[in-house]
Amino acid sequence: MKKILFLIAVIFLLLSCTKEETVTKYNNNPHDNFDALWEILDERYCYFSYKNIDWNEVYNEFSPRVNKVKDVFQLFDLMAEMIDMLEDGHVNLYTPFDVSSCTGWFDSYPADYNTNFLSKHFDSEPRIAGGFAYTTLQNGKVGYIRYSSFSEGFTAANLVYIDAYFHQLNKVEGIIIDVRNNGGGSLSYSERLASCFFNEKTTTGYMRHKTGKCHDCFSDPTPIVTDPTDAPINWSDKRVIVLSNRRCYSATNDFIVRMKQAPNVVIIGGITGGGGGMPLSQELPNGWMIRFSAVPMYDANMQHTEFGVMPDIEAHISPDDTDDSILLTAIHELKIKN
Amino acid sequence: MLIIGLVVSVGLLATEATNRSYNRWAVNVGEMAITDHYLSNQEYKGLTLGMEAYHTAYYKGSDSCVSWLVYDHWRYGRLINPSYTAMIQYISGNAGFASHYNWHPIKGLTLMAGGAIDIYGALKNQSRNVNNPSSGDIQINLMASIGAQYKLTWKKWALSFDYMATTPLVGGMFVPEMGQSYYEIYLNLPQCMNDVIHFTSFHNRQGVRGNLSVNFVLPTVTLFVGMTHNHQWWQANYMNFYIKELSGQVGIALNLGIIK
Repeated sequence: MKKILFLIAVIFLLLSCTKEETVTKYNNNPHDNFDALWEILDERYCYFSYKNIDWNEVYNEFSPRVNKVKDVFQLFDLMAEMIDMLEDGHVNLYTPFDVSSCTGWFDSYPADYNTNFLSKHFDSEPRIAGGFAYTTLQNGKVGYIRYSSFSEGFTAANLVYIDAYFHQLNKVEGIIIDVRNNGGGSLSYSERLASCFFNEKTTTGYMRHKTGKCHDCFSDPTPIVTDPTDAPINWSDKRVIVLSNRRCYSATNDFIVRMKQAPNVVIIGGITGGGGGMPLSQELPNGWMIRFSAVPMYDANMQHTEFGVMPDIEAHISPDDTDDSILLTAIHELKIKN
Repeated sequence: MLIIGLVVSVGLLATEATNRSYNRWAVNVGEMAITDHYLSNQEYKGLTLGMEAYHTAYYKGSDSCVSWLVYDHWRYGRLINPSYTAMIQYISGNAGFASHYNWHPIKGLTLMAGGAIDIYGALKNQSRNVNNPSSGDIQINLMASIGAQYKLTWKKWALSFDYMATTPLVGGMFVPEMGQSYYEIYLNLPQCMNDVIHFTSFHNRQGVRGNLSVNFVLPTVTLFVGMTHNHQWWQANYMNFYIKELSGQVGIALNLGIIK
């Protein structure tokens, strides 16, 4: 037994000689904060290869400018300018005094949404159920549901009552889901709402994740399944139009990707904004938080959705329009099919 | 776990009646620091509160040479990053079963050496992360364990000094891949188990946990004060993790073997 005691003592002795990994190699100064930001994105951002971005070149361009930084505001502006090179609405720098955001993904696109044009089509003032506003159009022939943010939740009861309201009128021939200008939110709500329009489990997309620090280190794709089993209502047999525009981003983009695979659903409007990379977060030594796309998501054909999803029928509100051309196209489409 | 430990210890109670503390309960207060690269590259520090329980006795017929120990530890930590802009709330639990060989080289001194099977689980919640707000630890380890007890007696009073330490040898642990969300793990179970379950040994899992206590042995009860040091670190999937804790403790010990 003395040998065993000796062996265990040696284990503890050896252990005392091991060295733990350094917490972080960066200190809280402008250069280290800049380098930490660059490195976090270098190791974890998922679209360098897809967007053909030379991140080392970006470092060479921006790093020397840290020497000229005089205060935190200038450091923030420099970092924001650097991460803007990624052209990704899911890349944001959060500080106690400002939040950076990339707007290039929608600036040069038509707005395709006008509440004044829209509201004159309502049969009545919309009712509110959870995150939904709903009413009817065309003298009760078209059910209309507006979902302005996937951050606003809803319950099964909300959908059941909306369904009951449309059935009560007994002449609703189709449903319009308007997610224009919906900037995203929770993927769970996207999945839950989309499940109401499927009649069977359907693979509606795929996702992968970074498995290492290199730009192309990704896992095998994981199927994303939209499952109607627990859906609160079944609208899979309804004629459904989803209205989209460039401001449909992130979880809304995911909703459109799912709905493209649903039976009896047509997407009408403009190309979505994308945001196909699920964002994760990290932080810099000074406490600023960086959010970045880390998990690329794909459509059912294994195509990236980062730059947006094309509608089935493209329609826009032009500057000369005096009405919601996208909504009119949807109403027309519903009538044609009926 | 406290109850299970007590039941087990009572069930195995047919032991020699000695002044050794068989059942110990303690509360801890101290400082903790953690790093979890899945949540943040920064070290989070703060207050930790904890509870610990130990139930020990000699095996039947071992002639005071071989003892068993059932233990569980619980911790809550409220930890802040260096710039005070985010917080991690930490909850963990350890439970284990150990066996020790005991030597009595001189009067009053007991040396122990043996092994333990330890199960550790923790949940860390970061206050502001998006899509990676939480991180979980699950580990099972075979530990090496050593201990010593020195007891001074004076009339019917006794004072003992106890120290016990453990270090992980081999085991398994859960660590997600660096870009993997828990949502994806949930979607892809059990196919992704190979990516998130890791064999552990000295190459990726190190640590020492020790507890020093001074016991005031009274006729029917033992009161003790002590300190716990815990330093665990592990690496997997290009990420590093560690826990450092130093806490003081006070507690009570009962020798059920001498309660009539």
